[in-house]
Amino acid sequence: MTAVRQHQIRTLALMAVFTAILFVQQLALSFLPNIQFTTLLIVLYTKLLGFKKTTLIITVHVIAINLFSPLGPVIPVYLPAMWLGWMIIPFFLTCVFKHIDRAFHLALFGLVHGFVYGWIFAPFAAFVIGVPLWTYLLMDLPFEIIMATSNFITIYWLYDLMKKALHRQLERLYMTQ
Amino acid sequence: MKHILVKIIITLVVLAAAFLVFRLFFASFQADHDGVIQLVIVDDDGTVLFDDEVPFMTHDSLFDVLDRTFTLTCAGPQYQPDETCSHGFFIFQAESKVILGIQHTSFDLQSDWTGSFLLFEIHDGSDYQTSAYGVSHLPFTDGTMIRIRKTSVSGGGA
Repeated sequence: MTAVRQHQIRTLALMAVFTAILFVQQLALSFLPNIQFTTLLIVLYTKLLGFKKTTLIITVHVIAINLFSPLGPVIPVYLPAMWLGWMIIPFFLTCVFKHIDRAFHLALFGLVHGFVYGWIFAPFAAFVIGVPLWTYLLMDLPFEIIMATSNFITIYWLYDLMKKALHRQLERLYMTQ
Repeated sequence: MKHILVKIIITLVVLAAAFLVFRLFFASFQADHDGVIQLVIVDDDGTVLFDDEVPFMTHDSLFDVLDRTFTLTCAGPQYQPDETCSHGFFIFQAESKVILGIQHTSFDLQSDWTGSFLLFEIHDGSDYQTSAYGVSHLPFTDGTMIRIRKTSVSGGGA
């Protein structure tokens, strides 16, 4: 097997493991509304793997979480909203905020993302539930605040530690070729 | 050590800010004067069950007004009917009651939460609009027109 092929297989396996971690943690924490490590993990994946690979991970994750979530079946209208909501992270962290790498700044980014994620869902959810957009936005605010706070704290406290640990593991993985 | 201390302080500030926003936005509404509200209660087939003025007093929430005027059935912790109305749902210490049923001498309107619920609407001067607040937080003043409508979860109500 060529070195290139070996590298590709390892990368693919790594992406599968990262996707599984994303999926399992979100399911495991689904009983707590909007408290999760998803934003932290997607920020980490973007910084370590880049835009393309993170996009693939997010796409598989969004499909999997909607198909296998024990909380309910997939609502097709929500799929693009969820995908867009998560894709904001790799998009902005690889262009406008490309050079941001300090935990505090990324935590602030996560804080804002908590609200933006809810706003992206709002028109879709208001359409599905059949309530006025403003009513939905107001009622969603507590959940946005929970998500924003959760994003800030997890990124602020865990980003540096996890990035260091994952970076070390990635180096080991690719050096043993 | 100093770095960790700064992190702890910033984290506490963020948590306190989130807590304060919750308290500001979701504190229970209490009337600051006496007055009356115009209350309409509608069944899921559009039948008007109640249409009258209901008095309120200073420090009343809409829940207090309804509880004084009608026999209420609230939602318990698992959204099961609770006629004592002792349970409240808490988000950051802001208590919210959920009403499943309203009973009066002339009618008995009950919903089950999974198939139907009681929708609160407020008159904006031209028509009734879905309220952004529930029964514990809905703001009102003297003359406010409020409609409670039994609504099907799947396809709207009356």
